[in-house]
Amino acid sequence: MRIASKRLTKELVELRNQGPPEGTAILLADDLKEWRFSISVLGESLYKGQTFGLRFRFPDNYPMESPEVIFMTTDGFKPPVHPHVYSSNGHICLSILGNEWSPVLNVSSILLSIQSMLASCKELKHPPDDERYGRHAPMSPKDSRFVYDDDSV
Amino acid sequence: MSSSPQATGQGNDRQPSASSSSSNAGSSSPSTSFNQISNVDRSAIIYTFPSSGGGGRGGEDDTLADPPLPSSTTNSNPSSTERPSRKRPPGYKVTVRDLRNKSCWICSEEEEEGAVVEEGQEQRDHRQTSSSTQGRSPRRGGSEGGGSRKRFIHACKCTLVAHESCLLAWIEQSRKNRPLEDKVSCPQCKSDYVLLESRPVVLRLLEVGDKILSRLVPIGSATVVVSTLLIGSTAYGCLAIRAFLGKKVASRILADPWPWHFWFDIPLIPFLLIGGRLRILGNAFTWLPTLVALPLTQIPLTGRRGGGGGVFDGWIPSSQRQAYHQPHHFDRAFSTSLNDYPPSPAMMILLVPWLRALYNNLKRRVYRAVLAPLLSKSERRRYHLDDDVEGGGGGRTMGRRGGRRTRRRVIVVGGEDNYLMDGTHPGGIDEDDGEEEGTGQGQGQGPQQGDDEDQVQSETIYVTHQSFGRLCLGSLSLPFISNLMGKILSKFASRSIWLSRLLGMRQGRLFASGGGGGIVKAGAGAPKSPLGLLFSGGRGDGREVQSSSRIWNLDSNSTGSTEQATPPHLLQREEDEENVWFRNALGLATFIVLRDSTSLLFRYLKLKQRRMTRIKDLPFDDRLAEGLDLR
Repeated sequence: MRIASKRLTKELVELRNQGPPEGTAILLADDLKEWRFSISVLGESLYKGQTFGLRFRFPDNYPMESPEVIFMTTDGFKPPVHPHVYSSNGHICLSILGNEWSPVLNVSSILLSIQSMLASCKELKHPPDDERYGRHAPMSPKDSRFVYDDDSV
Repeated sequence: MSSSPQATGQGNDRQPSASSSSSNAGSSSPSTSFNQISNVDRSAIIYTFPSSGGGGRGGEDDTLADPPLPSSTTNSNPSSTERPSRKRPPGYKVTVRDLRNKSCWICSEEEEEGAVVEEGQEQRDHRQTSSSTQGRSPRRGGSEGGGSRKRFIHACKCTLVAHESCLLAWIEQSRKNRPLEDKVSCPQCKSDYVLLESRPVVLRLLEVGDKILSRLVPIGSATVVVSTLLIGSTAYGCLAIRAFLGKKVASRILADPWPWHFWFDIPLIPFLLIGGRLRILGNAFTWLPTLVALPLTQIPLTGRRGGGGGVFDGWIPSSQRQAYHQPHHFDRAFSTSLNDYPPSPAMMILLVPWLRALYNNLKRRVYRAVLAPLLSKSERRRYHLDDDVEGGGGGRTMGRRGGRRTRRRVIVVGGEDNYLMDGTHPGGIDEDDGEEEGTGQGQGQGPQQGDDEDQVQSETIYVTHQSFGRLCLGSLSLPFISNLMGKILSKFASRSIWLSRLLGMRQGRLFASGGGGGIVKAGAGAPKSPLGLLFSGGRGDGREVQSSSRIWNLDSNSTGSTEQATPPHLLQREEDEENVWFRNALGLATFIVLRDSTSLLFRYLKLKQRRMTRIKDLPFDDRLAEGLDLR
């Protein structure tokens, strides 16, 4: 817990001082439990002009464990239509949020990764098992076992 | 890998350890004059970076998560003009202790130059040189607990440095996340971390033991479950034998040295009882006992080889005659001609399945004859189908259809109140069978009607708690029911001579055997194999033998009509025990017939009632009638 709060404090200081990556903005970072960001994709992309909300929740043993990151479905935000984003709950199937996570990564690099995930999308479509997952998904995406099969997007 | 810096670090440490007892030693190695510049009062110590491109990072501009990129930050420090690195001797290996500023890539805590280093660092380094591993965990705990600086470590090929404690925590977490990979590597440069683990022999032994234990757990639990089942079913089997054969015979059979196969036969009893009710196994159950019983009947011979008798000598006349002429042959003492009539249990085992098949066939015909007129056409068809599936004479109907005999069983678990359709021979334990065929089953058969055209039989079997319970309890209670029925029969038999003769009770002998009896010479040499006794239809319980020999001696002494002289209650008791099993078998048969008749009656009445059900026709209310258009 000490490590988590120390590191999150540092990350937050840095995000406030230097600003989050371009295209993203802090919506809420009052404590070290949950942060919210708005995110939009720079340049030409399928999501041009759209802004999405991201919610970060940090486990007690962050950064040993990855934060829980989802696209917000509240506050007027809707998750993007993307093959790796589940429409009903905003869960993201992204390997660095799961088994590829390592403490080298941080909030800022997650934001960048999600930006690039959106930017490289070629086709606006939902995940193949969107409906089924939406019905059975656990509250937190960290409790799902994603199979990271598609590296192209 | 980290091993080489480690080695040089050790060498490095050793050199100054004598001189640098002062508190400034710290995480950067005090290879003093090369890389350390201090004020006069030693309040500030500047550590410089070696020439290999490394550089101290200014605290102000390094990003938290990015690995330290030394080259970009070298110039930030004004003191970097004096780069003592050039003064390093050739071959000097730079270690993490040479870094000016360090930031743990895990907790992003930084350690800047000039910071107060932890006391005793030197000692710890020294300790590591001597025994590089053993002191690790206490050291870690100590550093965390003290709140002072933690030890930095460089464990891979890239520039990432981390607290040893953080890295250990991450390695632990990483192993949890990916239990299949035994190596943990740096997320950036992918080089494996080298862990210096020293496991004392005891720990290693304990770990091996732990592994073995964890492998044994499933086997152990399986053993427990199986043995529980085995014990339970053995107990049930013994109870069933006791109920069916009578207490005395049972106590003889189950007397102490059990032949090895008892441990298989007896636990099998409950399963066979239940399995026998299932139509799937029905066919097997007609011939299987024949196969099993035949060899079984041979086994008891071993116990009485001396006698040279066979299993069937109880009712093979020649052997009987032999026994008769050798009155001192203990084992044969009870092989009287009386045993002719009640067939021996072995014979029963052989015969019963066939009798059962015969009976079921008959029952099916009767059921069909009685119930068919009450069923609608489709239901009748269904009913015939059902018969087909039941085997036996079913081929006829199928033959008429001339189709392939493709059979599909669909087992549905659940359902409202459909009882097990399959486990019951028509109306077996399932009184509602007929009704169900009309209602729930009709729906289940919906797809089947279409299938019929393709000559595919599909059979839907509904399994519910109710039906399963009925099946199991019905099967398992059979021995006890037969016991009860046997008792009732024997009650009747005491009134009716014919019945008692039918039951093979000894009383009947008064009438059946003119001069047959009176040959008993029971001795102390009771037969050894209890099963042999079972199959010879005899008895060998010592006490019983004694008493009965008394009777029979009396009999032979007084030559002739001594039976009347024998105390009747004693005689009664003896004979009672002797043919209990046959009595019970007949009782069971009676029960089954009664049960099936009841079930048939029930179904008949239900079906009839369904046909008879009408809805009451009501006249219109007077006020309503006024407004109606009437004729």
